[in-house]
Amino acid sequence: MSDTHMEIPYTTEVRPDTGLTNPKLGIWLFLASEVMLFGSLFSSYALLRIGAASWPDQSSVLNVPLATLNTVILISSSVTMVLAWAALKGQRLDRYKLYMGLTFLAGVGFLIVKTIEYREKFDHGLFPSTNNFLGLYFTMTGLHAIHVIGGMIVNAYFLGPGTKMWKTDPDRFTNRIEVAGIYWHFVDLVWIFLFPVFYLL
Amino acid sequence: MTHPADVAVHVRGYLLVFGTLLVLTVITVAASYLNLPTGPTVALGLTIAAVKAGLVGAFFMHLRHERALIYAALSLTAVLALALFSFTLWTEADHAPGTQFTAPFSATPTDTAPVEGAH
Repeated sequence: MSDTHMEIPYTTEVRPDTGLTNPKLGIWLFLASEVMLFGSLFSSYALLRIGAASWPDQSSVLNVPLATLNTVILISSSVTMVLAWAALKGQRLDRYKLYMGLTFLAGVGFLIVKTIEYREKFDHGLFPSTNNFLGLYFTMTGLHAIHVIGGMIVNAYFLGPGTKMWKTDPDRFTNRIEVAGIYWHFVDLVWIFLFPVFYLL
Repeated sequence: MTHPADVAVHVRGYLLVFGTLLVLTVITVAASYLNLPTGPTVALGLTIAAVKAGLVGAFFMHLRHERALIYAALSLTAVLALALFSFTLWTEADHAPGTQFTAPFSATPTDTAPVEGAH
């Protein structure tokens, strides 16, 4: 079997009929489904809030400074992620490792801040079951946090064992980082909407 | 392979986008302290969020230079997401007479039928 291993097609070369590599098309189709997943939750939020007889003053229930800090952390991690990819394009593996490491650390930082926020709510007896607003808040930020964790697992792999591919197939490795980056930016993008919707409006 | 010089130009662009995103974040937070009425607050907050999302998509996710098939897939997604929001919110505009909430459990009916049993 070892000498007949099958090549996965179109990982680096463009597929003629789509004009894309398969991973690029794949990640975008996946993100399209993610838009609908988060879209269903955002539309539920809109429906429940518009239809509610009363709604809590969100910014007085939640911690706006901590959420602002998390916004800055996540935006910064998006930049370091794209710089990690640009470093590979420029043949700089050392810089790639630096930027990818920073991206991972930013993910850790985001989760720590989120944990502090959740604990603060629980300590004040505020749970998902308390009211519709908190139910939506914990569901949507929780789902988002799961996405952050998923992205961190992928990034950790590419920072650790996954880096080996750089020696054997640098173009394919660079594409992998671009695709992982597109996912990571999407996670940032979801937060860009979660932040004003839950904390500021 | 991209020429290293091209990458340097990109990096400057990415940092510029980064700065813009930070500025827009500050504006969003500052605007929320103005205590504007709910309508303008929501409009402003969502507009700034959309601009930020556009910047992330166009530059970080490379949507500025992407193939037609990606645009087609995302256009279809946009239509479906819009339909999802529209149908969901239309249910709110389509209350049976007298089942519309007013103030918290107000005794004043908004329509012809009594409020009892609303929702």
